[in-house]
Amino acid sequence: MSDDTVPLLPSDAEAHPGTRGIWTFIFIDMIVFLLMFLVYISEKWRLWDSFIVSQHHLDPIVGLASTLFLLTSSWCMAEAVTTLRRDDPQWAGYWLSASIALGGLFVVNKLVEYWDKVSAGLTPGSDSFLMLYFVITGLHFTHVIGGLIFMAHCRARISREAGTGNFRKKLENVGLFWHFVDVLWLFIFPMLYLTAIA
Amino acid sequence: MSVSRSVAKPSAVWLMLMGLTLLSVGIAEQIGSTKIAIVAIFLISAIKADRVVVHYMEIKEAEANWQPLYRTWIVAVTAALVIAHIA
Repeated sequence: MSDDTVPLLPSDAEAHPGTRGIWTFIFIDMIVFLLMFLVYISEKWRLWDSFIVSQHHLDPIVGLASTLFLLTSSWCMAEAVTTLRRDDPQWAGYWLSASIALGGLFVVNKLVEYWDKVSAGLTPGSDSFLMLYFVITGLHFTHVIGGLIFMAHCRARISREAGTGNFRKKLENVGLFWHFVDVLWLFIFPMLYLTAIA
Repeated sequence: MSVSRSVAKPSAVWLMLMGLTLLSVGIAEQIGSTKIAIVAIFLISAIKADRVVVHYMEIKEAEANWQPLYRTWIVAVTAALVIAHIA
């Protein structure tokens, strides 16, 4: 039996964005991050003064830049999915490229930030806040890298595969993952950068 | 593609998200880290996250059980962060 005759997706796949698998995966990942946020909160309660002092090592403007890159990248991804649904793979490819480029800017910004911190002697071993800062943003960073790899894979294949239902579903899944990465940062940014209560 | 789009235009959502982001940073910078400012900042985060989930992730078009789970997660994270900072 050839691949063309074996349905890879359920019959009602077109009615819903993404697949059941990606929604499940993302939700499980969201629970993991919720637990990490609770660990952060628990530690901050325990070491409140130390956290406030250490939070001032972070520059809110750097965090703002990361937020703007990721939000704009998310917008471009949404446009890529919308454009592909309108059967315009060329423009879908352009939007996807823009989304990847903006994700790349987030990566560069974060690496420069990490370098600045480490160069100044601020490492995960310095104190509890910095340990959690590096762990939480580091785990988020791995998700960003993963998302960019998936997006690059789609970008490389869009010209050949854009007309297939499986590719549209794949791009939707990648888009959902990327938006989830964005949603995480929408909480990570204020939690770490904007809440140093004196 | 047959997913019906009960969502706003992505560009309109982006403008709103950018505006809310700048608002939250403005609150943090100008009002400072008072409890009211902290609550406002996290509520803004919740609104932004909800808009991304609704308009970019199109959760209202997903299978029915996902919407309450995802939006409950947003409420749970927001509540935890707000309580942590004002308690």
